[in-house]
Formats: sequence, structure tokens, C-alpha cells
Amino acid sequence: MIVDQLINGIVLGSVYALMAIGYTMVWNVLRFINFAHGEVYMGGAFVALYLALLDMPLWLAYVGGVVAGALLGYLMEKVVYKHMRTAPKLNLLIAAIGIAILLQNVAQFVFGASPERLHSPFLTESVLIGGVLINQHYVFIIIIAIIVMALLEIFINRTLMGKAVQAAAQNIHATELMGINANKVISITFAVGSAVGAIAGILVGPIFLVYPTMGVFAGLKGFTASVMGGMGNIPGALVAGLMLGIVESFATGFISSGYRDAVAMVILLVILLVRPQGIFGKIVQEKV
Amino acid sequence: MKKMKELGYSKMGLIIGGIVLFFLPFLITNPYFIYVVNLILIYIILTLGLDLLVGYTGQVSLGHAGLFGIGAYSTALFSTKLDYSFWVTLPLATIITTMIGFVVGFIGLKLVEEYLVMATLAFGTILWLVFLNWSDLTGGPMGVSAIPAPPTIRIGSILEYGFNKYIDYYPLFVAFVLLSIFVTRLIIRSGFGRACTAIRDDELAAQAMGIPVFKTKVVMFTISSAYCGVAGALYAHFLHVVSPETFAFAMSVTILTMVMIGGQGSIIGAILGATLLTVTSEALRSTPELRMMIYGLLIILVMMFFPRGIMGLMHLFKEKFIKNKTVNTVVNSEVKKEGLRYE
Repeated sequence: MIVDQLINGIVLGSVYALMAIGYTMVWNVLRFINFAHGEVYMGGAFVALYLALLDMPLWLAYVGGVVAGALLGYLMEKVVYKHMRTAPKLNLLIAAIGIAILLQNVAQFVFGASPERLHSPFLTESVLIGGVLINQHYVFIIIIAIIVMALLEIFINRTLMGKAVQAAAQNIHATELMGINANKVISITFAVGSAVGAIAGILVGPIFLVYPTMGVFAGLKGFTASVMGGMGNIPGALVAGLMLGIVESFATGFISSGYRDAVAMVILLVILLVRPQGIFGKIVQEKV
Repeated sequence: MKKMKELGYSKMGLIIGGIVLFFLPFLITNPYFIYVVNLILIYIILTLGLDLLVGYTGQVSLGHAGLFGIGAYSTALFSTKLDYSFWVTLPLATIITTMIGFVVGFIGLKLVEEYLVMATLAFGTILWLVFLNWSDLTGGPMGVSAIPAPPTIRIGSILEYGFNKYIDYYPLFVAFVLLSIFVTRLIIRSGFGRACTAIRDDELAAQAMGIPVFKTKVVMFTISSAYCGVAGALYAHFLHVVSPETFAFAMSVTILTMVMIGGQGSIIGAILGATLLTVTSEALRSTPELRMMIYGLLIILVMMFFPRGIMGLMHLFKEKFIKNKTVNTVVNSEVKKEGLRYE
């Protein structure tokens, strides 16, 4: 029983960690919380679902979903955020809320509100690992999450573009002065962060189903994880995502399932108030 | 001279508004339209309350739907379970909402900007989950129904006024809207209101001038939640039923959109925003997703192109065509650059 909860927690946690990466990457470069990130998660899952319904091979549908997610994030930035760089932060945030509302309802308009199950070849099978029977799809989620994180590590630390992203995170104006195309870096950041978010949505689709508002709580929890790990800290986001998933999974065992989503909200409030710099972060004084 | 003219405009607005409010019930006889007008009046109270916080203090809350819900649920429960009269439940609901608003503000306002937004959103979500899941008290997803109308007002045998039809609520709601406008004006013209404006424009500078920033923000948040309490109580007794989905995240967004579209930091803007969006949303009642799509698109467009909303547009228009051009273009460009707000 405890082992089951732990495994559920790790699976949930890897999904939250993937979500948190999107928030953290964008925050790193633009110092802005992309409130519509949850809708990328939803959009990716919906496109994958739709492609699978069109009798495409499942792997192609999944890849299509990821590409669509990346495109959605890229377009968001190009069409809206890019034109608001000098606007007050709050205006940007409210515009992001607008995007979230728009995308949710476009999805509802196009696909309908009823939850649908995304197909997975592994869902009906289970494997025996160390004496515990685990659903194969859960194993699939964990493996994919690890691969995505490894690829991300390589992208950020081993490629030129990754280094440009890191430079932009430190000082975007200086980056531009060094001859790096800052707009391109921002676009790439949005695309990569959103692709990771869409992967999270597609991985969850077969278990928790796909519906227009699926991104709302996933987004909030991903945000919670990124705050827990310290905004801008990618390894922190991973650990915090796992922690959040495990805590939530165990807490659900003790309280009524209706309050499940409240657990993350309470954790978010506590973290924001007690350690707003995150579990692993340092405090930065506000400058004039 | 300029000031006189400004005064003339606002007085003219007041007189026109008064005439419209007075004659409206004679012009509209269709009960559905009266229902919509009453809804608009409730939304105006909510919008004024949030505008005090967003437009005048610069603190955005996405938890006001939860506070609105607290107002509605407390009045609903007091009147159905304890049989209290409307005249008792209204102040009770307002007090309860104000107290909860104080707690939310006291905790949430330790944070700034987007973190405050996320914290209030978390509070709003928690309140909504409580409405939804505490079935013994709130009736769960079904909500509370059969909330009685306010009792008939009797003054001897001279006057008897009952609340049976939609139109009977109209004078009551108008009275509360006028009261809200009056209180809002009182607040923003007081020293406290000016302190709030200073915080909005530059928090660090305000602090350096000796304004107790945190305290001022918490007081404003508390006042703002009192508006939600009043609106919630009126809403519950008007519709006779409250259910959790009304007080979900979408409601917070709706109220915020009203503030933004009308133009933050303006009473007339709040009234315009509430009216415009309620009418649109009633017109699109049969297709709720289309309505929310339009909300989303409106928010994006307003934020991208006219962050000052309708009032900002009107201000620009006035400058271009009515007043001295050279002086005002300077002011205008300054306004644009610094992100300052104006009434």
C-alpha cells in the first residue's frame, strides 16, 4: 500500500517536474511567469489525442502533440508577449491569463468538454519490479521523464544555444550586446519549455484523461513545484516536483479526495510565505 | 479654468447617470432585462471593490470570486438554516467576508506582484474547493437553494414594499451601488486613498515617504472584500440559490476583466466595464465557451493595445480633439512611458 502510494507519487511528481521546467526556463530568461503554460500541456495532449483518433501511428501522434505544444508556446510569445516586453509585469501576467482562458475555451469549442482517454500501448500491462506490480505506463512515464531531463541537461550545458539561454538568464541585455540574437533565444526557450510541458500532458493523458481544463491544476502544481525548487533553478524544479507529487499522493490517503488539489495550494502558500526563494534558493534584495 | 471644465464633465456624468437610473425601470418592462440590469448592479459593486485594490493600490487579486462566494454562502446559510432576516444576514455576511478578506490579505500581501496573484489564486481555489466539498454545510455541488427574498418592508399602513418580482429589487440594488460609489469616492479622496495611490505608483518611494506599505495594503484588501460580501449577499437573495461553480476561477477572471476593460483606477470605468461585459455575457448565454473565448481575447487585446481600458481611450480622445494639443501630448507621453494611471 505504502509502496503503491510512493510509486503514484513518483509518477505524479515526474509530471509536475516536467511542468515546472517550463515555468522555470521562461522565468529564467524573461523574469515572467507564463500563466498559460498549463494550456500548452492541455494543447499538446489534445493534438496527440486528435491525431491518434485519425488512425495515425501512436508514436507519431505523440510526437505531433509535442511539436504542437512547442509551436503553441512559440506562437504565444511571438504574437502576444513579444509586443509587451516594456509593459508593466502585471499587464503581461493578465494577458497570459487571457491566453489561458482563450485556449481553454477554444479547446472546449473544438473538442467538447467531455474527458477522453488518450491511447497508450502500455496501459493494460503490468510489470513486476522488485516484487511490486507496476502498471507499464507508469514505468513508461518515469523513463520518458528521465530521458527528457537528460536531453535537457545536454541541451542547456553542452550546446551553443543552451549556453546562449544560460547567458540570457544572467543578463539578457548583455547577451544582446555580445551579438547573440536575444529574440531567437527567447523563442527557443518558449518552444523547448512548452515542448516539455506538452510531453507532460501527453504522458498523463492515458491515466487522467484529456479535457479542456486539465491544464489548470497541472499548471498550478507545476508552478508550485517551480517555486518550491526556487524560480529559475532547473535541478531544484525536478526535486521539488518529485517531492510535491509524493506529498500529494500520501496526503490523498489521509484526507478526502475532493481536497486533493487543495494540498498543492496549501503547500504553495506555505512556501511562498516561509521560503519565497524556494527550498534551494538564495534571497535577492529588491533594487530601486 | 481647466479644473472647472473637468468638474463640469463629472457633474454632467452624474446627472446623466442619475436620470438613466431613475427612468430605467419605466423604460424597460421585460422582466428578463430587469434581471440583467440587476445583475449589472451587483457586478458594479464587485468591480468597484476590486478596482480599489487593482486600480488604486496596484495589487491584483484572483481570489475575489472566493470572497464573493463567502458573502453569498454566509447569507444563504444564515437565512436558510437559522431563518435570519435579510436585514440581519446582509451585515453578518459582510462582516464574515471582511474578516476572511483580512486574513487572506494579511497572509497574501506579504508577497508582491505575480506571487501575490498566485497566492490569491490559491486562496480562491481553496475556498472554492471548500464550497464544493464541505457537503454537510454548503450542500456540495448542488449548493444552497430556497434562499428567501428580503422581508416585506412595512411602515404602519402607509407603505408596504415586498420583494416579489425582479423590479422590486432594483431600488435596493441601486441604493447599494450608490452607497458603494459614495464610499469609493470617499476612500480615494482621503489621505489613506492617496497613500494607496502612492504605493501603486512606486512602492519603495512610498515606503521612503513614511507610508506603512503593508498595513495600507491590508486595510485596502479588507475594504475591497467588504464589497464582495455585500455583493454576495445581494446576489444570494436575488437569485435564491447559490452553487459552487459561480464562485470558481472564471468569476475572478470576469471581475478582473471588468476592471481592466473599463479602465483601472476609475469609477466610471468600473461601471462601464461591468455593464459591457454583463450585457455581452448575457447575449452569449447559450454558448458559454464562446463567451469565455471573447473574454480571453478581450483581455489579451486590451492588455496589448489599451492597458488603460475604455477610460484610457476616452482620455486620449479628449486630449486629441477637445483640449490644447501641445501641453497634453507631453503629459500623455509621460503617462505612457511611466505606466502611470489617471482617473
